[in-house]
Amino acid sequence: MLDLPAPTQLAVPAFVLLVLIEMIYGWKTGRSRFEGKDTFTSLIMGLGSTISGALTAALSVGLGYWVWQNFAIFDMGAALWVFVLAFILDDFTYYWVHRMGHRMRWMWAAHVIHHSSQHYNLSTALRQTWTGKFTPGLLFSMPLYVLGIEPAIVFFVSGMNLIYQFWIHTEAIDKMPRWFEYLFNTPSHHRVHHANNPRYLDANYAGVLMVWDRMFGSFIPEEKEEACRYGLVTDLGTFNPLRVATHEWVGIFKDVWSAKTWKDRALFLLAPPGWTPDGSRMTSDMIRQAWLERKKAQKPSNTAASEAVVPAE
Amino acid sequence: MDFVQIGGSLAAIVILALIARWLYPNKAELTEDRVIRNVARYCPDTELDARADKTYLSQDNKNAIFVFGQARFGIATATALGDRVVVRHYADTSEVDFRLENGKLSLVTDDFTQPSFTVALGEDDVSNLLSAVNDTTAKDANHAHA
Repeated sequence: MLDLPAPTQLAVPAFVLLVLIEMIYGWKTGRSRFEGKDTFTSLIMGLGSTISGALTAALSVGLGYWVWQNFAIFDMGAALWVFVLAFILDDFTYYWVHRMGHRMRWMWAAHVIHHSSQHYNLSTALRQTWTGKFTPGLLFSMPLYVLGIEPAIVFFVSGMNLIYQFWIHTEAIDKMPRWFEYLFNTPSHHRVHHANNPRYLDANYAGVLMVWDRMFGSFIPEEKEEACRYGLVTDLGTFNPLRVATHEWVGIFKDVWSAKTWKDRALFLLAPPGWTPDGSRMTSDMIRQAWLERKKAQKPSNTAASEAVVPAE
Repeated sequence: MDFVQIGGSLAAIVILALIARWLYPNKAELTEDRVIRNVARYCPDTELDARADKTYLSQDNKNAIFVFGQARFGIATATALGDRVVVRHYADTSEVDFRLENGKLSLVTDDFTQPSFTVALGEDDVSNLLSAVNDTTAKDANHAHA
């Protein structure tokens, strides 16, 4: 078993320092915004995620090595090109895990934590799940092991991918050079991903390479005329980390418990967030459709006074 | 991860949160305009009616109940959470249990993400609000029976 460092753990001091720098920069320039309790919750979620990750590591490591040792087609070794290939394939895998994390409620229950802040700053990057290992997301890396890439290499490049994603959680950077915006995930692209404006829902799932969103039709650019408003479609009314970590699991449990048929029970887990048998709640597709219809009808609706275009007061 | 790392991380978290609180103090309170803007944002398919809608703002300016002039839209609640506002909409007010204790009105709902909601209102406001909500519920019931 290759002995590689855990990049995200090594990067923690740099994360702390950069959050502090952004905080001071935002205070001086007004280009970033923080809130004490929100920052505390984001950082506690990050610490909890690290602890839960350490506690459940045996699951992903054990499963990964079992698949690699028993089903690998090739012996890829550990040359530099294998790391490069692993990085690209892991980024492709990340795209699909992330996309499913928004489109399947079971996976959303874990990922929703990362979107639960109404702020968008470097501390939001650290607001991570405690329950990611209890979703089908774990299975998405299996093809890489079957191909013959050693799990330790996948864990390493996956950590590098997450480190890349840290710096894009900021409002302090407007746009990068055009070529960079085309190829890579940037603060602008990722602001769209975190926005709850109907126009921006379920877009820009990329980790590092933006090519996946462009290829699979999920790319939406940030528009100057509509500022991003961050958070969930229905924002949380609490900063309590335990409620933040578990609220969607509780919601699923209630829905599955009260469902009338096995089909409904399955769909409460597998259908997109917001799905109900009677359509009494709204999925992101329904929200976007309603927005498009309002726009088409040019109805002088409440959007005139809406905060959808005024992200912060 | 060992206990020293966890302890160090906790200390760093507390320090960063305190610095954030110091550099970015919360000055904005909930106002009637802010409530209306946020209700409009959260409930884009409702119709606001400045003459008939009524906002009941808590005395501490942290919570508010918004009663739609058109009964079919029910009520909305707004809460100042940090420097942001969180809104909930109850078109069917029978989902909400109103409890009056020590002059404070609590709204009890089956909402795990908003564990408590209490407004301190003047006596007149409480009675007007409950009357408006009862009126809304009665109209809903009439619709249901029509």
